[in-house]
Amino acid sequence: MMLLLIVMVSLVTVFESVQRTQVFTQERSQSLDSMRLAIDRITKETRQATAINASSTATTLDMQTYVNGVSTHVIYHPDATGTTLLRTVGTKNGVVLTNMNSTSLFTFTPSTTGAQLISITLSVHPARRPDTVLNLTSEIRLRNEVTT
Amino acid sequence: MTQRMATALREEESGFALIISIILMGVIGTLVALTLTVGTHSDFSTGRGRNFVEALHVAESGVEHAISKLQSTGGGFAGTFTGSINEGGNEGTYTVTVTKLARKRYQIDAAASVGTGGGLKTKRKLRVTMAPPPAFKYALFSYTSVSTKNNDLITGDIWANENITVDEGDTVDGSVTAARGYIHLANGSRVKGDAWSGWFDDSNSYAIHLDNNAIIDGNAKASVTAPTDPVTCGGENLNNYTVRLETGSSVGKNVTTWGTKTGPGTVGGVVANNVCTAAPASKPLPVFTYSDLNYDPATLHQFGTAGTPSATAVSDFQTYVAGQGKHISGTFYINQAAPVNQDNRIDLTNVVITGDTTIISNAPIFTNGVADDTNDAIFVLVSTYQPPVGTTCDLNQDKSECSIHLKNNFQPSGKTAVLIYAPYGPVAVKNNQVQFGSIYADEILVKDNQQMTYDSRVERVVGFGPDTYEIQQWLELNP
Repeated sequence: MMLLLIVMVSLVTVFESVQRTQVFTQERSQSLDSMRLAIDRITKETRQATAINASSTATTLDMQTYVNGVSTHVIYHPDATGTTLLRTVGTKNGVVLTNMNSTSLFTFTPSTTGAQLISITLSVHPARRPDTVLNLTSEIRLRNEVTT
Repeated sequence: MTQRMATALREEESGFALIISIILMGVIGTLVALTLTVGTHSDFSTGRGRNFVEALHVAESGVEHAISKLQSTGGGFAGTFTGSINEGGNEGTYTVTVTKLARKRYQIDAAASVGTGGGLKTKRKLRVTMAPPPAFKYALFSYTSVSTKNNDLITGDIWANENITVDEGDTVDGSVTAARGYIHLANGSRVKGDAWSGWFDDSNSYAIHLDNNAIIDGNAKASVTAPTDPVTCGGENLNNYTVRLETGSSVGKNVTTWGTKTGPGTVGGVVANNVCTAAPASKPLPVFTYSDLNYDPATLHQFGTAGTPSATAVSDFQTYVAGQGKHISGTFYINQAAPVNQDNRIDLTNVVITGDTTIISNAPIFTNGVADDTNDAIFVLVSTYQPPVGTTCDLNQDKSECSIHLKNNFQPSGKTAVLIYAPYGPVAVKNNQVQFGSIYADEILVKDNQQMTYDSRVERVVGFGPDTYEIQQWLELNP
């Protein structure tokens, strides 16, 4: 009986660890999926931009671009808490990504004025593991003649 | 016996290994299921992500394939074709449709498909529009100077590599830039945008001069051509960049000058004297290259060819025009053999434009009245005539040495956008001209109730610019 108890305790400990690992792995996978979706969307719209507005910074991408062939003013920017990336079209805000670890997202080459290349870096931590940071980077070469 | 059974029960351990094994198997099974689930999901996510990116490249390959077909056929290709990318892994396939649009534009639709497994197939679709490069963005562009006279109204921006004179009562609803010259606004004239100069008038040292009651609504900036340092502004004399505002004249916003603002006129914003700024660089005229491949062969009429001029090119053209009742459309290339002069020039008097019309000639072009009968047309006049050295173009002399001389009611309606292009000589426009479009010339003289409004339809015209075609618009559509 004692031996059984010892073995059971060990097994339960292992099982608990497996459960925690499962939760972490799932959340990590979800975060990666969200980041992939976000970066696909941002790159698709940025690639078609016709104007990078002067208000664009490392945290904000303000551009005139096409969405399914329609010229649209789109702004990507963090919310007030800096943990959520929003997409603003007109007066409507949509959530693009949550649990952001950093708001330094955009790099313009050569500069905001006359940008030809834009780098995007998304940095996210899974919901219950703030000590874990996932990074995803992409570079976009603009296809249309861009004005600022 | 009961006691023996109780003892046996306390000491009996057989059967517990099964329980432990089952529990252990449960734990391991859970772990394996988790690993497989996450791993499979991760594989599919990665695969879909990779295919999504790859589909873009495959679609762009289709676009490049279409461009090469257009190049190899001189712009004659239209239709649908397919292709595939196979570098050992069957990367994807594309279907491309090329459509000819109006005014020598092409639309390329490329749809790409990548991946074959369930859940991994990805499609993306691109739409690319090819058009001539943008070359004409100003209402008036002069390689030297621009001069307006007598109640002219110019809607759009003006660029001159040298000086700009806006005469009495004239209005420019736009900005004026005299890259390496001065700007003079005569009595009562007005520039509703900004004024930017790059030099000064040698006779009075004024960089920007507003006569009585002249107005600049925007900013006035008197810059220095290529200053080598900001402190001494390349050693330029401070007295030479005066912004002079006479009685009743005004600048609505700021005045910035290497010299000083003088005169009783007012400034609505800040006056910044002795501030060194660099003048803009001179701009070249867009280069025109004639190729018969650029034009629809069904409506192209050549009088003399690019390689072989004709001694009767101008007269043959005039005969053709008369035969059409002076109602014309299409492309006309007139290469007149020497001598080329004002006595043997193209005369478009009383011609009526009935559709897109392009006239290209090495002879001077004159007209005493042109009209149109169309809903939407572009009328392009190109004269590469170079007047003899030492001659002048006079607005009041019909036979003076102008490359293009438009007189008396050159008035295509707003339905026709007009591009006037004369890279080697002056363009003179006089008397009640109403024009929508653009004038680009070595020199521009405008007089007497001229109304000129920039029309963006002439921004891109085939034959102008460093390339014949470029990507005008790049879109990704839903597949």
